[in-house]
Order: sequence, then structure tokens, then C-alpha cells
Amino acid sequence: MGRYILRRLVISIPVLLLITITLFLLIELAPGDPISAMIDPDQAAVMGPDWVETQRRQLGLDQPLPVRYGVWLRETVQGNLGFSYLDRQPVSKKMGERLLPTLYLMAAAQIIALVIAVPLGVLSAVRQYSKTDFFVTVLAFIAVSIPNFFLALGGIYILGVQMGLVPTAGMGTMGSPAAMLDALHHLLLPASVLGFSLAAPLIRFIRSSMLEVLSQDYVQVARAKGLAERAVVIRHALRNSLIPVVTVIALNLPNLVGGTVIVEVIFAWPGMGTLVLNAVRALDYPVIMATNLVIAVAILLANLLADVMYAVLDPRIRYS
Amino acid sequence: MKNVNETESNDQSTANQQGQVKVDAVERQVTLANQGAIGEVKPRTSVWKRFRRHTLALIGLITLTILAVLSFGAPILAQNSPNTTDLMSISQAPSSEYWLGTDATGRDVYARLLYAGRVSLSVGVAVVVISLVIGLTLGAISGYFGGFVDASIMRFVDVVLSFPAVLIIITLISLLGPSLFNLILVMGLLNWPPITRLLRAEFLSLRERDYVLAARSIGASGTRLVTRHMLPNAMAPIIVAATFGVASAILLEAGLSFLGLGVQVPTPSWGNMLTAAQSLTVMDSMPWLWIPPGILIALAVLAINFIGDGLRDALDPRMRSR
Repeated sequence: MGRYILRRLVISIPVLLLITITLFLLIELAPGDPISAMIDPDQAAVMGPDWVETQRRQLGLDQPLPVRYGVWLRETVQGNLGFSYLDRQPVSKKMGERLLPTLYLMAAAQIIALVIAVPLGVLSAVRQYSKTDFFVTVLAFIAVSIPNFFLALGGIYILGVQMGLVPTAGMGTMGSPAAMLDALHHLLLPASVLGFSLAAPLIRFIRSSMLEVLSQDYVQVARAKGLAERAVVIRHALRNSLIPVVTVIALNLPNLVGGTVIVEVIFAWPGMGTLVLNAVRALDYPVIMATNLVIAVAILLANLLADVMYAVLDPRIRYS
Repeated sequence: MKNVNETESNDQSTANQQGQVKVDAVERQVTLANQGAIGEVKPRTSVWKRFRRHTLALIGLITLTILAVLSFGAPILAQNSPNTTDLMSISQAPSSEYWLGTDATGRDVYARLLYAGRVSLSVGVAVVVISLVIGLTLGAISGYFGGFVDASIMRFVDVVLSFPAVLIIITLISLLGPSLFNLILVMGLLNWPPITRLLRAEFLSLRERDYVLAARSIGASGTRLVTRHMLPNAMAPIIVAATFGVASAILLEAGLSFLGLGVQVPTPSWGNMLTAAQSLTVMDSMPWLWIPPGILIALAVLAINFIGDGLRDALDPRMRSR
């Protein structure tokens, strides 16, 4: 097992390097350079082009591309992600503030998705080709087909504006002290919207995984022993059919991130999504670059973790 | 409608119970025979027959046809131009003159809705065409040559897939500047990895098949092997993936346009028509502005997804959603 994890880590390193190179080149394509963003144009006009050139040299911008990449990579690895063009704050600090809200939102969405998907997936597998199965399938199709921003707007319109049941923006009520219940109340609608679209692929997956397990011999044995069908399904089949779900959750992570950006913007949620979008609108490249990098690395790690967990959860798998 | 589906379903379940393995084996032999020297059994008619039995897919096809006719017949079907501002009638509720009311600058929402359909549907198709060109080329190279070439292309696919698509598209669009062309280009440039993976997997197994070896042994060139023998037999899963790809491209375009990073006003798209609803007052007081485009996006995407599901069942019975 230890060797397997090690090998997976080693394979990830070139992918990680490629990710950093791609990102670096991408930002290189951007019009202008840090000088134009960091130095007041009026000052530059007064001091003349020579002064600007000196500044460029001091910042190392006259170095060739590979050297600049090397320097950037060295700083990034040490945790220095640069400074925002907008407010001169360290990018790592800005991201640090936004990380937790996004994690709360994504975790809540994932839990809601599982709460919806597991029972529905199991139900439609147990009653394969029944009316229930048909309706669950159609529901899953509907869930992937409704744009999440439309669902969010609809939720705000009906539950927030018309019925006044849930708050429509932010993470907490302005002015009131932070309270657990208030935070959960604010989390409810955005997390449900995200969770609903996340549930669809899970339903389909749990259904097919469950069908496969139900046809296994040991399920037949459990039935033959005279166990109640409920016990067979929940204790014997469900547990094993959930193992591959770990992988699907990890593979769906990029989609979840994308959905989170849109949902955060709609609900004015102070997370990474709103940070990215504001940075994109202001062409704040250090922030854009750092968020992309951090999220790409997070996705890579999540996939790695999923592979490892899969191996831990399913002892039948032997990696050579 | 349900009855039809159920009878079909029952057939499936019996088939499943009676040892799917045996059926598969026989089917494989038959397919192999077909792919070899023996002639084909009019695959197109049988595909259409199986597709027709898939009720949801048929409903999807009809819905999509209606939407396409409405969108591309917009100049005939809408009496007002989508971009003419009528300052005398701003933010009006639906009436006999403006069927779906007007927006804040007095433009006809109904006309905009139809014209927006053109944009949204074409973006979806255009994006998939670009990603097909890239995806099929790289997938064919990867699967045909294998070895080092294959490994490098697959690592590259891993890299592209480890970026969250929405984030990187937003970044690229901010660099290039938002426009219809850039949107299609960027989305097309990022959506090919699944196609590459699919075609590579198909090619890896196809190139070992007897009929390919036979063609190779009588001296068929690499290009001929790929285009005449391997590609046609690998198309079924690609067509299905491309169909689902159109659906997700339409969704993504809508999301980006909603955020103001996709199709730019005044050009209407279903996504950017919803942007106004980000303001709570507009959302509450002018529901005709944002509910119809939202419903049309969902309808179009749902219809295409149903068609994709039907195609999956019709093109290759072995691929049936297990």
C-alpha cells in the first residue's frame, strides 16, 4: 500500500509541473506587465522611461522566460503568491480569508447531494425498470439540465422574495453577532442549489453500482440465509456499492468548483468564487493565477486521495 | 407513453436475467463478422428503429426541433426586431403587442428570446465541432501509435482535466476579452479531453482486432487504416459523447453569459437575458424578463440529453446504461 501511494505521488509530480508551466505561460500571454499595473502612470510620465526600465530590471522582468518561471516557482513553493494589484494585499492572505466559506459551501452541497442521491439511487436499482426507476431517471436528467443559476434565481424568487423563508445573500445577518443557526440558515439555499445539480450524476452512478453489486453471489448467499431484503440491501449491497462513489465525488470536483463560482456570485457568498470573479473583472493577474493554481492542485490532491481511499476501502484491489 | 417504455424495459430485464454474458458473446461475434468480409445489415435503419422506441429520446427530438424552428425562423415569427429600443414602452408587462413584455430599454423580450435561441444553440454545436476536431485528432494519434506518444498525450489530458473548466475559461476570456468568437474558441479548446480519452480507448482495442490486422497485412496505409477501418467503428460512443457535449456547452455558455463573460449584449443569448434578474427588484417585479429564457435553456438541454440517452441505447445495445 505504501509503495502504491508513493508511486501515485511520483506520477503526480510531472502533472503538477505541467500545470504550473501552463498557468505561467497563460498569464504571460496577458497584455501588459506588472509594471503597468503597479506603477502610477503619472509618476512614470514624470520620471521618464529610463526610470521605468530600472524598475523593470529591479523586479527581474528583463530576465528570460525560463528564469522568471524558476523564480516564480521557487517563491510559490515557499508560499509567496504575490500581491494583489487591487489593494496590494498578499494574495495568500486574501485567499486564506475566502477558503473556509467556500469549503463550508462545497461540503454542505456534497452532503445534500449524497442525502438526495443515495436513497434515490438505491431505490431505482432495487426496483429496476419500474415506474419509480423511470421517474428517478427523469429526475436525474432534469437535475443536470436546469442551469444552476436559474435554479438559484428561482429559489431566491420563490423561497426568498415571495415567501421570505430564507435569506438571499451573504453568510450572516449584517450587524448581528455570528451565530451557528443564522449561518446555517444562510447556507441552506445556496448549498441546496449546488447539491441538487451535483446529485444527478451520483444518482445514476449509485444505481448502476448497486445493480452490479446486487447481482453478486454474496448477495444471493445473504438472501439464501433468509435475511430480510432490507438487511440484504442496506447491510450487504449498499456498503459495497458506495466504494466507487468515492472516485465519482473526486472526479466531479472540477464541476463542483465551477458551480460554486456561479452560486457564490448570485448569493454574494464571500468565498473563492467571488474572489476569482472580482479578480477576473479587474484583471488582477496575481490573484487569478494563484486561485487557479491552488484549485488545480487541490483537485489533483483530491483525485490522489480518492485513489488511495479506494484502495483502502476495497481490500480486493491489489496494486502491483 | 409510459406503457411503451415499460414493455421495452421488461424485454430488457428478461434479457438481463437470461445471462447477458451469452448474448454479449454472440453479439460480439456477429459484429465482428459484420465488420469483416460479410456485408453490413443496414445499420442506419436499425439505429433509427431502436431510437424511435426510446420514448424520452423521441420527446427530446420533437422538443429540440420545435426550439430550432422557433429560433431559426425568428425573422418570420417575431414581428419586432430584437434590438430595436422602444423608449415609449419600457419594462412593460406582457401584452398583445409585446407577447412577453419588454425589458428596461423597451426591447421586445419575445423577439429577443427567439433570436437568443439561434445564438445559444449554435454556440453549443460550434463548441462541440471544435472539440471534436481536436479530440479526434489527438485521440487517434494516441490510440494508434501508443507508447511514448500516447503517454505524453494522456499526461496532457490529465493536466487539462485537473483545471476546473469554468475557472480556466473565465481566466482565458478575461485575457482575450469577452466576445462570441472568443467564447466558442475557448470552450472548444477546453472541452476535447473526454473525446480524446474515448477515441483512444476504442482505438487501443480496435487496432488489435483481426479485421484491422487483416487490412494492415494486405498493405493498407496508416491513414487508410485509421480513416476507413478504425474511425467508423469507433464512432458510436463519440456521437453519444458529442451529443451530451452540446448539452453541457449550452449550459456553460448560459452560465458564462449570465456572469457577463460570454455573449455580450446587445446580442441576445438565453444566458445573458437572465443577467438582469441579479437585481432583486427586477426579479420580483419583472418575472417575464428572466423566467422564459431560463425555462428554454432547461428545455433545450433536457431535450438534447434525452436524445443523447436514446442514441446511446440505439447505437450500441451493449452500451446500455447498466
